[in-house]
Amino acid sequence: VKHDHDRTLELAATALDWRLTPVEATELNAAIRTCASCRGAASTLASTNGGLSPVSVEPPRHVDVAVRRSVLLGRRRFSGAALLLAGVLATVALLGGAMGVAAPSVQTVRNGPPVVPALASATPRPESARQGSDEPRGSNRLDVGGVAVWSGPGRVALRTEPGHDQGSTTEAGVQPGQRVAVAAGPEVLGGVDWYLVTLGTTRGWLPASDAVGQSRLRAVRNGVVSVVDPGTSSVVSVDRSGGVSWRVDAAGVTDAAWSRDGRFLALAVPGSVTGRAAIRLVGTTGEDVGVVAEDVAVEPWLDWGAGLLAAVTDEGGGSILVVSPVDPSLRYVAGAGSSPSWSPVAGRLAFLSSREGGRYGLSVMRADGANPTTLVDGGLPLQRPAWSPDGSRLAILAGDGASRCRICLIVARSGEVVPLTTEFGGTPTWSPDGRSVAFVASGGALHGQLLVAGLDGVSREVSIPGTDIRQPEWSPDGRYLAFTALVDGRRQLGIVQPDGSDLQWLWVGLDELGSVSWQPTADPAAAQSPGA
Amino acid sequence: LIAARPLDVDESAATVPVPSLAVPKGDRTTRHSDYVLAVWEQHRASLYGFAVRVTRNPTVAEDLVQDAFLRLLREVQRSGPPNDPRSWLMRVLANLGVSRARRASVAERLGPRLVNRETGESPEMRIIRKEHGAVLDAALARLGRDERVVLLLAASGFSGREIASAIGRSEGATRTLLCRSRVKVHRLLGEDDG
Repeated sequence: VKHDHDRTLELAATALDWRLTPVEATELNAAIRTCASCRGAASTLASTNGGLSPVSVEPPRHVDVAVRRSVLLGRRRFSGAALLLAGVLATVALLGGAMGVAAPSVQTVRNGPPVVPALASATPRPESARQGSDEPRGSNRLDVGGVAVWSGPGRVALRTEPGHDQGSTTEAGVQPGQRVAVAAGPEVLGGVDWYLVTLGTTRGWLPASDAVGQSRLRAVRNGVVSVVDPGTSSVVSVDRSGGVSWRVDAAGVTDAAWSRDGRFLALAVPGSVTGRAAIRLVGTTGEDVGVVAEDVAVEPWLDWGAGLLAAVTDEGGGSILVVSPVDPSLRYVAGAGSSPSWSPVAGRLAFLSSREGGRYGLSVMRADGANPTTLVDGGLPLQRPAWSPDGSRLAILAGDGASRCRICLIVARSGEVVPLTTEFGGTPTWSPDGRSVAFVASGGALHGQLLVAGLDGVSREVSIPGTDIRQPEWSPDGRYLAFTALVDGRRQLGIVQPDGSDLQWLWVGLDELGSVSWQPTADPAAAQSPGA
Repeated sequence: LIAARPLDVDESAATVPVPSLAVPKGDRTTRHSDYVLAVWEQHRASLYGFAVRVTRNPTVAEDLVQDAFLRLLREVQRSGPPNDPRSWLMRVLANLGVSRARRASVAERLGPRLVNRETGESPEMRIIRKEHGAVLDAALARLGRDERVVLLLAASGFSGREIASAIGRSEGATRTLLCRSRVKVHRLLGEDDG
């Protein structure tokens, strides 16, 4: 009987898993009866099936420990607000599952490869993987209340009215890569969406695209939250559901910081010289990008500017090293100092310059070390400067009784000191909209609690059911704060809205947890526009 | 011959042994985690083996297994233990394996990873290679992740319909995928022989 061997093979394969139709069964049986070759093929197919039988592999001990701990801690994690989240997840799973035996939720699975493009950056971007965002994608609509990044070719002034021909320009402007808070919009004028944005205390209108429709203002979204987890000698990156997106093994890592374009995570890892650190970059899925600096200070205090990374070296008793992640020739030792903080306006760096008696001055210089100018000269024991997102001022710790503030604002143009709060606190971190500063109180009744100080001088406590809060970090969209806290004796990574709502615990450390850094990502629809 | 095997798509997961796990008494949260830990105790080797075969990457397998057990805990807290926890977990692992593969495929091509990253063949992969034959293992390695997942699920006793539901595809698409995978393995083994 003349028949198609391939067809028989397909039918024989299908018959291993599905009931054939009567016509197919007849066809298969006829072929097997009459053709030795088909019979042989069907028989090996069946034996291959047997060869695939399940294999047991005893998991390594650290996996056993990790699963037990997460299950044991998981029962504590699902209380209060988190129970609500679990309920929502469960409902999604129920809706997505089959009847009867609950199937794994299909809804929580991402379909198709995620595309998380880089934000605007001053440096050329290499081809690299982009992963990690949990946010909805596919639209370039900016969210009112969210954060957007300007990705035009140069500085643009905010306008008093929407439209290029309306109103006038304001003094304030944005540079490529700079963030603004979206306050209202869009107003459509001439086919261009205009948004009312705030830049620190200034308000004005910006177009979302240029004359040829290329996107200029892109929504900033939240990517993964990366946390240094010494208990597992790794840096873990978790998404908003607490699932591990990826992790990198890195023993002895002391700091982790996402670049402002969300493409590189800088890690301070033990260097080749004992007692020194190296700076290693990994990409958006944890892939190794390479070492950009060897032999920096043990705790190099990483700070990313637009495409450049500053760190402290031990050279000359503490110098600031500036490196580029993509261009090895871009490398400066930019003068003696510590605690570098990049201005959001490209190319300027604030740092603490050493003075006598453990006191510091606050200075500003260009990225290559040129034009150093002193803003505050040694009058205060200063620590940890942090430049505001609009570039107008710096928040800084000023730690003795003589000053009017414990966290002070220093006006970048004049060096004038303006009190922010009289609470003692840890490293101040600016919200992306530049209107509040988060810090952890130290000393006093609120010791170890997270506070958010508004520019109006009012500090509010963010209520978190945990103690000894550390590492506060704003989400790139400004809606959440990430932090670590001790809960039931374990250090956990959590996120919470500044008003204390929507608390979620994302990760439990085996012992301590270190630095926290939240990856920014951009709206992909915009980035896929031509030439973006 | 082939058709002699009962292939009723309505068959229950009878080929999968149903464990005799009862939810222990006690404080609700404690007994939920005790139950999940008992499942872990009983099935960790087969589930980890499954995850390693699906991902072919022990590090990824570790994450999947941990994630799957946390999901089991949530499931138990929400609506009690599933009828067959092992089979439930395998579905979750398969589903996670396929979805992670989509996210991680780029990452897998890039590499090498950081310090301590294993570069040679891991002990887990060696065990698998030893246990089910280097030739079959090599053939499996040349399949796509989706293709491998459906074959491994089928080998673990899932019916075609159950696999379709586990990987979130239509029965028609799953039938095609399974058939294509089986024929592909068959051909790869044939290439090896000849």
